[in-house]
Amino acid sequence: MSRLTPGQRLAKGVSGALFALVLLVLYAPFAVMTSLSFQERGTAVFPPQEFSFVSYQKLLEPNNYSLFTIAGEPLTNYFPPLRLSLILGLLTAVVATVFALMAALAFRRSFRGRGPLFYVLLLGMLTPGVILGLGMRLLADQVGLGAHWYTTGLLLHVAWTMPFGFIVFLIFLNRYDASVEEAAASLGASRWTVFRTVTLPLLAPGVMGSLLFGFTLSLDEVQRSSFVMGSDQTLPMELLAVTGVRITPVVYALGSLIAVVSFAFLALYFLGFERERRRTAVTAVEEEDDFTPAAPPAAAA
Amino acid sequence: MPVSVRTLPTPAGATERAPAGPDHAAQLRLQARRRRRETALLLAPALLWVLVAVALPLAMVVWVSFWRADGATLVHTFDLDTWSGVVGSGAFRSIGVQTLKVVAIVLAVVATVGLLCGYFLARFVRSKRTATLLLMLAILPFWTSYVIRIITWQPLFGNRGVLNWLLLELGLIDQPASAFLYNETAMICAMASLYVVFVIGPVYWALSRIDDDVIAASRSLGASAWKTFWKIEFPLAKGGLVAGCFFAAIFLFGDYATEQLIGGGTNPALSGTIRAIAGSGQWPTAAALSVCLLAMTAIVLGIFMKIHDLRREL
Repeated sequence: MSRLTPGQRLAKGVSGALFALVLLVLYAPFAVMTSLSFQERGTAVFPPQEFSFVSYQKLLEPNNYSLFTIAGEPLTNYFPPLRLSLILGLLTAVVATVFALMAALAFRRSFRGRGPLFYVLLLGMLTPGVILGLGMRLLADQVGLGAHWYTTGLLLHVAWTMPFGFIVFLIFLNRYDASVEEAAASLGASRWTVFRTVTLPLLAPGVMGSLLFGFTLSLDEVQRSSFVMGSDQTLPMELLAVTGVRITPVVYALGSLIAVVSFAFLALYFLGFERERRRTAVTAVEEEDDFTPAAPPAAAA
Repeated sequence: MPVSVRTLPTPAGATERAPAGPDHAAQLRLQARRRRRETALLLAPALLWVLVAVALPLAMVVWVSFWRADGATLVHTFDLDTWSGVVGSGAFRSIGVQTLKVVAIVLAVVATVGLLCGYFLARFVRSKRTATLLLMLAILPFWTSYVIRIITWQPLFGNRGVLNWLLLELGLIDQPASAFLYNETAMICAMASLYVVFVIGPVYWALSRIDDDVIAASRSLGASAWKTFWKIEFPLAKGGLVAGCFFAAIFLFGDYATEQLIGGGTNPALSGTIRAIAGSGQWPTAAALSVCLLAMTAIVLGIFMKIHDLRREL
């Protein structure tokens, strides 16, 4: 862009300030939470009064009751809900990704009812969560199915995340060149071999994206879970329940740990993604060098 | 068809070598049938799942809304008692209006802020690398825990939170203000911060795909920067804007936890009301309200699809 007009300079200033504000609002809570997790008793008091690791200790030793000295403090063991959430998240991610990939592959062809079925497949994403939770509970009661994480819980979590995977795969499938598959097929590869050795590797970023959606959305799910988990308590449900009683620094300690772990995990994910993208982008540019003497720098996705 | 159609290749050029005639026709029919079967098999698991986990529960909600609750016992009838109670209630009507109002305000905030931020990243950040990095920074918190994010609003904005401490230290106020938490404004700010990322990303991607030459051409032909924005950049960013609002609306209509924790239960939305009423065992009333919420969501999402067919973005 050449020289900015005064109006554009104003727009730059305003939008830049707004973006900075957005980043501040997004990250300040994490910073505050982490700083508060190191104090001993106060709940929402800033600045922190003292410095101690006792909240983390409480988190790790939930049965060591001598640590819990704040009046009315919830004695919550977060390990069982955490384990349950991780298992449910992994299961949801895998099931949703496999089914979403299959459906997306079917959508490469035209068939009767393709238009309406597109919306049907997205229904689980479009319906407000509370309604699905209520409906699933009513249905389960009607047919005598017990509400557990592995029955109604898994059903709803997959129904919620599968459409995201489906969209991810449609986006990838619409952007990649089907001629490589034709090349493989014309060289004699069977359809299964084509899928395994050509289609699936090309879709690998899509698979990763779909798994990430499935796992994180499930790990975070509260809207749909309220009526369908029975006595099984997932981590976000447990956190909401505890918050209703009293927020203690233990919650902040847990939140800080979750934030650190997920930021680290996501950083690794995006780094891997970026490296993969650059690797493929570089080879593409190198190949084009013969035709375009001054190859433009690899454009961002 | 907006969703582009690609067919799988025919294996090893079998059709070309097949002799013309009845044999050939039969072979083609066989192939078509095999493809249909394959499509059906690929679709079956997902469709079956949607049927059991989405369609049947929705049907159940509609059905139960015609039941009646006499005290704690459910009467499996088919009458309009529940519905007349729901439709006739001024309280429920005002909750419905309140729900729409909050969603509309949050969407307006999210669209404005998201558009400006996306524009900033695409147009005013010189290096593409920096822009991508900043975008990643904005997206990252979405992938962490939503519950954790709303819990942290208390130490930030509560009576003894950071903002009050800051204002006290600066001498701007004499005593802690309670205006930052447990009210509608706080709730709207929190929701906007949760969902603004849906708009920033798509708007940035849409704008960054516009060729610089197009902008330069518009300017050299005499259009002002303002006119260039409205005639070229905004129409091209519209898809991203609508997509962002669409997804924000999906989350907003069902979000009851933000309202509870940050709104402080002062401005109940339909989702929270449904949850509370169902929790007290009044299933038919909750079901009828769910049907209302579903209709509301369908209309709003339908309007977004009318403004811009999102299948074009796939």
